[in-house]
Amino acid sequence: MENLTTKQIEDFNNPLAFARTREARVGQSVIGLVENRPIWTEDIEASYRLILGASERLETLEGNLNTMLDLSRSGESARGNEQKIEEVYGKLRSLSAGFDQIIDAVVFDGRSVFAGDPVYLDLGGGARPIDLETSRLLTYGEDGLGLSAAEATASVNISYSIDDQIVNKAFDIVGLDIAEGSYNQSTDPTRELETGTYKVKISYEGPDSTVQLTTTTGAIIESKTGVDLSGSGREWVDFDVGLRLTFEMDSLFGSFDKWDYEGRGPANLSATLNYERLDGHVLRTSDEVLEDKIEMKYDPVLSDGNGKITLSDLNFSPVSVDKTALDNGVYSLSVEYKGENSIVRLHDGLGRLQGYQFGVDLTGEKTTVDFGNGFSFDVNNTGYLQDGATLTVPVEYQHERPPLEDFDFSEYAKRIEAAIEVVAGQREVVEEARLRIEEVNNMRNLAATSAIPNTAALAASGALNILAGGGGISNPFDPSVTQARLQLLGSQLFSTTTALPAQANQSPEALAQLELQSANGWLVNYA
Amino acid sequence: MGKKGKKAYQANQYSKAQSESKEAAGQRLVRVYELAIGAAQEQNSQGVRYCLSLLRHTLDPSSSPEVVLTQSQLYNDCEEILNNEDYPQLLNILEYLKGLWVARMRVDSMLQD
Repeated sequence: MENLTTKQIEDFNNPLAFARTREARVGQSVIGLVENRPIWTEDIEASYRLILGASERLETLEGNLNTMLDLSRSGESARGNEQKIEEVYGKLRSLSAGFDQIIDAVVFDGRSVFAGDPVYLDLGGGARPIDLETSRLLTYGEDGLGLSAAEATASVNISYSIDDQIVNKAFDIVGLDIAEGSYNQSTDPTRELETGTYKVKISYEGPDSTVQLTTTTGAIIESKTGVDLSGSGREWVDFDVGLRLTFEMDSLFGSFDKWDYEGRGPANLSATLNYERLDGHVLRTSDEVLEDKIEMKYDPVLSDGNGKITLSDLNFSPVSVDKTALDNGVYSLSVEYKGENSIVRLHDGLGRLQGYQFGVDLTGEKTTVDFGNGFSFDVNNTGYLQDGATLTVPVEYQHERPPLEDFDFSEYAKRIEAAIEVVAGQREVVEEARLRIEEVNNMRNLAATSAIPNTAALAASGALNILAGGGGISNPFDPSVTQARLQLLGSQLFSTTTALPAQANQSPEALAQLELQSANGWLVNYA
Repeated sequence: MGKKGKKAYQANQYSKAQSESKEAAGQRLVRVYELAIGAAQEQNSQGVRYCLSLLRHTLDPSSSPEVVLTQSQLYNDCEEILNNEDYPQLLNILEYLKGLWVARMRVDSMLQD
């Protein structure tokens, strides 16, 4: 593959790039889906078409895997070169997604041949169908090749339709914008939004605003009240339906904040939201996926005779553009109470300052502190007054890392090698099936012309299977085929000198037993 | 009788025994077909199945795999026809098979002479 531009690398490594459409919500089984339902071809021609198509695609897949192997090895030697690593990783994402697309394209009767379902190839009357022992060749999922993972995500797009623009123009609010919508995986998956179009309705009243998510016809899905959209900065609203909205705020006027809601009442804003359920295409080498976790080692309390200060609602917040995301680890969080000028600090294990805010007014009942580095929490005050006291607590912060950060190219190369073996095995299986179909077909043609089949024809129709099975799978009886066989046998018996030993092997004892049974009206079971 | 004459006599005796053994085996095979035909005429499916079972289990692929394959497929056909209780068709096939083997044995016998 040729070198990628910076823009291409960025596109290839976009978490939503190569994502697949997801119909079910997270953890939901698709109703009516019958797993492992076999695929049957209807006749020998269909079997042959399927095999030829599969054979061609498997060859392409093997080529793709070899390219991926070369790339992965080049990734191993690119240690320290971040751009090169990102480029190789992006290419691997692209190629592995392409691999899945090829697998999805090998279909029979609308179903993927290499999705792990049993496949039976019909060979016509008189021949046992081939059980094509296919493997699941998708790069993701249980029993897959383990080259990628499908992780639930969603694409969220905010736009403003004509009706939104009419509403928004009527209020002419300045300094409030929905910066982005994103999938919020920490919510209850059973309530996830379905793929579709929705409306976001904002009733702006400064620190006591309301954000509603509704259907396009206006039915409320979820409503969040008491949202603080006052001042400047970023604010996010998490909905339980798997959605996070991030607002960007600018307070530009001295006399009022964005809109004179105190004098003129709340301002209404409207936006259109498109939600699409997706499965992200993720390449990982670490099997251990970190679960998001922020917890205090204990519940700290600062109290005086009037009241107390406690901490709550530790959250993952969006990272500000000018800040670095907090690394996973244990931190020391301290709150120095000085009324309206309190100070909040976050230190890492080595004592380095990772978050700092001063001039925080903690006199209110509940104050949200957001360091802007992905960590926020609430300070609750029930009347505490004593200045100068400090509350300190260790906090464990664990957030899922971007897959590239833990990516081990050496380990991935091993997985590709294993995948190459699996695909090579499948090529053999398909090749054997192709030969067998061709030979069965040849044998039929020979039988039809009373010619003498060769030993290859014998192998093709699986003589041993037929003998061992004592009849094998029942096939529809075709008298013309039987007639052809009788004629064929006639030719065979007179073209070899060893015909008799092939059948005339009945021992005198066996014959005597048969005679006895015949005499008794066939009432005794033949042993 | 000299040494050479004795050896020739022994070889001849051995060949004769072999030929008789082949003929006897052929006769037993034909007899099995006759029993199968008899059972089919009586429309005794169990009897036909016993005979077909013996015929199937005495096939020897090592001597002529092509013949064994075709025979085996024909026995499958016979069982299928038996399941459909189409006795005239079954008798037709069994008679045809018996006839083929009788003809083959005659050819063997002529070659032997």
